[in-house]
Order: sequence, then structure tokens, then C-alpha cells
Amino acid sequence: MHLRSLLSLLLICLLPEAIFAGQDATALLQKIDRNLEPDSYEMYRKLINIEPDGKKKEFVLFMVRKGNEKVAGVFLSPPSDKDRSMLRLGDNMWLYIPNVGKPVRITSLQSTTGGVFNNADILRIDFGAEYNVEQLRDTLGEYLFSLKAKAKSVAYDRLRLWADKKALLPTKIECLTEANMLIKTLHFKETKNFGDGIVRPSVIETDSPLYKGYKSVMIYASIKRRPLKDEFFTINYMSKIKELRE
Amino acid sequence: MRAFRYWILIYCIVIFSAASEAADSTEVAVYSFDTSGFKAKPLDASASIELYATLILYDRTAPLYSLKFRTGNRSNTDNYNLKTEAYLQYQHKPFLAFVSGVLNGAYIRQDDCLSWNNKIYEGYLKYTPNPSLLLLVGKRLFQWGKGYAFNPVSFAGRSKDLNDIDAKLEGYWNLSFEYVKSLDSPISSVALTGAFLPVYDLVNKDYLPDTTLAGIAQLYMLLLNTDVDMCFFADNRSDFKTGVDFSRNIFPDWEIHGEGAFIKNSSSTVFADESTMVNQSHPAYNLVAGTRYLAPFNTTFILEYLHVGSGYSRDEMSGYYKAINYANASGDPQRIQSILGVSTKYYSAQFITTHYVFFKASHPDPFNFVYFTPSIYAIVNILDRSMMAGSEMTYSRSRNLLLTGRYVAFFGDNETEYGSKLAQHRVELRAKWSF
Repeated sequence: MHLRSLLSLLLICLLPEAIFAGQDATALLQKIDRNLEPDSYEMYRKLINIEPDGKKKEFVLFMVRKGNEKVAGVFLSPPSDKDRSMLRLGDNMWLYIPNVGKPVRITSLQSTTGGVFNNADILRIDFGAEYNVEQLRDTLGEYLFSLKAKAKSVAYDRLRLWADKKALLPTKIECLTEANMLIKTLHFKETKNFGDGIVRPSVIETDSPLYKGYKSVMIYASIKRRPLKDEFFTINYMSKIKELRE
Repeated sequence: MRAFRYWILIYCIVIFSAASEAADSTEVAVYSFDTSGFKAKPLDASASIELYATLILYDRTAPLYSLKFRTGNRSNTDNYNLKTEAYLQYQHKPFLAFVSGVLNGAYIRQDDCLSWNNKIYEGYLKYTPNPSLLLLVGKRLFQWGKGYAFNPVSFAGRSKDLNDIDAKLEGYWNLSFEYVKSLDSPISSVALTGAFLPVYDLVNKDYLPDTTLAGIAQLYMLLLNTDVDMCFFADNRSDFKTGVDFSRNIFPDWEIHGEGAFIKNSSSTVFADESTMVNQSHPAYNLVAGTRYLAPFNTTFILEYLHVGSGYSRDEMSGYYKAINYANASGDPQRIQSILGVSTKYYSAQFITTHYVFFKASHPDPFNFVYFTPSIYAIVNILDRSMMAGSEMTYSRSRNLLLTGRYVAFFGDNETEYGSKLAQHRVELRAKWSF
């Protein structure tokens, strides 16, 4: 009897955790998306590139987001990048440089800031908009989502997303290639109450085996729900995003 | 030349300082972010100071060399420049007043002269009654088109300098409007821009040759994930231009673009014989077909074919070279000055003949050397097989400082576009401080 209990316990430990897929998993991912990003809001975001010797370069953006596929932002700092703006509508991305005077198309894997962050990281849209849930594992304290990109246009072919079961917020994401090679890891930290029902991690640390020793950090601040017109998310409005600040 | 060596030394010190200096604080333990300094303020300003030195090595066999330096024996010249740019804007919703300008100072060693000039890039009053509508009066730049090197549909724009493609350009005085609408349909957004540009006395005097009132319009659509523009120009001299452009990502890392314009009266000044010039006008088609590809190894390639129907033909260029040779042989100072003036006015612009290929490759952060971007580029004149090729390196680690090094070389026979240039090699070192 004793041996049987021991074997049962061992079996429970060794067996894979409960595995879900399909609608439940997709609904859970949508909840995580909504917890992470309200439907329509503005925010300030600081990006910090940290070099192996600890030196860093900071960028500050004012950003607006609407629905699950409209994101726009304008650089407020450093002075050399000030007034550059970025826009994403689904798979389409543009960069506006004031001196050039017109938006140009950019791709998700390019980096406007240099360092570990690419454009897809800065202009991220809902996970549910870009990925299908292949598998969801229910572990003791966390969910582990295995996500597969819906289209080739998505920056990372696969994601492994760990989410806190209680808060339904990501704690860690691994970005992988189709061949499961790790491109970067995002660590979600310092969950904060921004008010108006918005509770989410305020810091995302990123490291990448492709940039050994380098680290990038995103800090979120002043997240505020705000109704936004669709016209703000057009290439004609890119030179005016800065004027949306209140 | 000696002064340029000192400049290189100073530049190396600046690069070394920028590389060893912390871009920002090295305190990384606590992630603090106080947004109060970034909230909207009615008054906003920004400025930059750029110092740059240029060394030009002359092609002593070029036809223009013997015209310009008949008695001298100069092999090079070096220039030292100070460029200060600034903008100031005041916003009181729904109004916004904006002005930007530049103050240039240049010391040209060859002439031992210091010169200054200034201009207003843009200066306007903007009224935005709602997110869809904008009304503007003042000086504003319209940079239309999807081409990287050349924009046939840019009917009220200015030519970009291929060796400094991101340089700020001057606008034109106009009265304009913009209407934008987002739609829930295959055309997900549409925008109409229209402007009136008067050409009178000192107002927009470099836009068109005669006193006139010009109107331009652009209809933009995001149609099934493709940017499409239709552009129009008309004026009360019965001139008319129309064009269309598009840009689309056919794959996430592969963009294609195209641009074409029809010009009803493309006018140019050509040599009828060695000493006589005539104006001519003819319909012309200008076209650009191009692509941009981000390779898996993070290098971006740009390739464009340019057809400049308004450019000079092979025979017309031949007439120009004959006129230079004739002036050279005559030794007549008046004729020489005249041909030098004509060369600057009509034959030194970009894309003066009809067929070109442009290529550029850039690779950010090579070997994990972040903020460093080397690039190479070339523009090939297919008509006469001459070429301008350049290499550029930018370094932007510091939050305020952008360092740029550039080398440009000109290749071709003496009677070709790039082979006939006075310069054979050009080296530029720039340091731009933004604040």
C-alpha cells in the first residue's frame, strides 16, 4: 500500500501537467491580452539599452493604442531621435523621420532604437491577434502557453509564454524561431496598479543570446484609458502624434 | 590639407570620447521613470549644431578642372562648416504655430573666405478643428513619393542629396488642407491633401520660372495593405503633371515600390551649338521601380531603377561637353565664366540624364557593435556608364551626439556625368549635437 502511494505520487510528479488547447486556451490568452493592454489607451514608455559594461542609452516614447492592431508612438527623447514616430496597423509598419518628411515602410525585425529591441517589440499588438495557441499547460502556479504565429509576417515564429494563474498576466516569454532556436527572453516584473482597473507589469527586461551581455528594459508609466479616433492611426497623422499629449 | 588632418585628429578624439563615455547614467539597479518632464507643454523647441569638414580631391583631367583652375595647380580643397538648425512650436489647441530654420557658416580654405547664410525651412500656422481635417497657411515641405533616391511625383518637393539623404529640406509658401478618414473596408484609410502655391516676386521664386499660381493634390489610400497615392499638379500657365505611386510589403522583410509621373511640359535648356543655348519643352515620363529587402543576416538592401524622361539625352549631353571643350580651347574668360555658370545651373543637379540604377546596403550593429551602422551606396548612370559610389558610417551611442564619416568617389570618362565632375574623391567627417 505504501509502495502504491509512493508510485502514484511519483506518477503525478512525472506526468505532464494538465494540458488544454482550443477555445479555452484562446479565451485565456485573450484575457491575458486585455489585462496587459486595455482596449484604447495612451501611455509613456521608456526603453533602456544596457551594455555589458553597465552603460545605457534611454529612449522615451509617448504611445497610443486602439483595438488589437492599431499602435502609434512618437519619440520624445533622446534629442537626436526626438519627433520620430512609428505606426503599426496590423502587419503594416511605418517610420516617420521629420527631416525626411514622409513615412517609410519598415519591417518588424528591424530596430529603430538599436540593441535588443526590434520594431515588433516596440509596436506590439495582441498575442491573440498574431498567434494561435498550440498547447496550454496548467502547472501549479502558472500557465505555460505554446504559441505559433498565424502568419509569416509575425516577428517570432513561436512563443513560450508563462502567465500567473491568479493575475492572468505574463511572467516570462521566450521568443523562438521555427526551429525552436531562442531569439530573446522577456521577463515581466514589478506589477503595478495604474488606476482605472489597469494592473499590469510595469517593467519588461529583455535579454538575447544574439546580443550576449546586452539587456534591454521597457518601463511603462502613466497608462490611461482614453477614447481614440481611428484617424490618429493613419500615416497622415504620424507627424502629429506628439500633439495628442494632454 | 594640414588643417583637415587636425580635424581628423579632433574627430578621432570625439569618437573615442563618445565610445568611452556613458550615454546615460550607469545606475541600472532601479528602473525609475518620471513622466512629468515629458507631458505636453504649449511651447516646444529643439535644436542641433553640426560641425563638419570636407576634403575634396580634384580630378585634374576633368574638363571642368581646366576651366576653373586655368592658371592654378590645385589638387584639393578643404571646407569647414557649422550648421545650426532649430525649431520652435507653440500649440494652443486647435491652433499650432511652427517655425524651423538653419544658420550655415562655411570656411572654404581654397578661397580663404568665410561665408554665412540662413533660411527658414518651414514656418506655418496650422488649424486642426477635428482629427480628420487640417488647414495650414505658411511655408511647408511636401515630400511625396515612395522612391528612395528619386521622387517623380514630388510636385512641390525638393531634390534630395544622395550623399545626405536625411538632410532637412526647405518648403514652399502655400495654403493647404488635409482630410483623413479611416474606413472599415478594403480601403482602410484615405486622405486628400490639396495646396495652392503662388509664385510671385520673392515668394516661391525658385519653385517655378514664371509668375503663376500652382495647385497640387494628393489622394492617398491604404488599399489591401498597399500604400497608393495619386498626385496632380496644374497651374495657370497650362502646365499639368500627374502621377501615381505605391509601396507594399510582399513579405515581412521584402518591400516593393513604384512611382511614375507624366509631365505635360518638361522644359530644359540645351546647347544648340558650342555657344548657343535654347529652351525646349516636351512631354516626359519619369519612373522609379524599386525594392527594399532585409536579409536574415540583418543587412538591408535597396535597389532602384530610375527613368528620368525629363533628363538630357546622350546627344544633349554631348552638346554640353562640346561647349566645355570649346570654351576651354578659346581661353575666353567671359565664355569660361558663362559655361561655368551654365554647368552649375543646369548640369550639376542630380539625375540630369535619363537612366540610372541606385543601390544601397546598410548593416546596423555589426559584430554586436551597437549604434554603429556602416553602409555603402552607388548610383550608376546607365546611359554613359559613369558612377558615384559612397560609403558611410554612423555612430549614435551618445544620446545627443551623432557622428558620421563619409567617403564618396566619382568614376567615368571625362565626357560622362560623374566622370566630368570636378571632384574625384570626397571625404566628410560630421559631428551633430542635438539638444
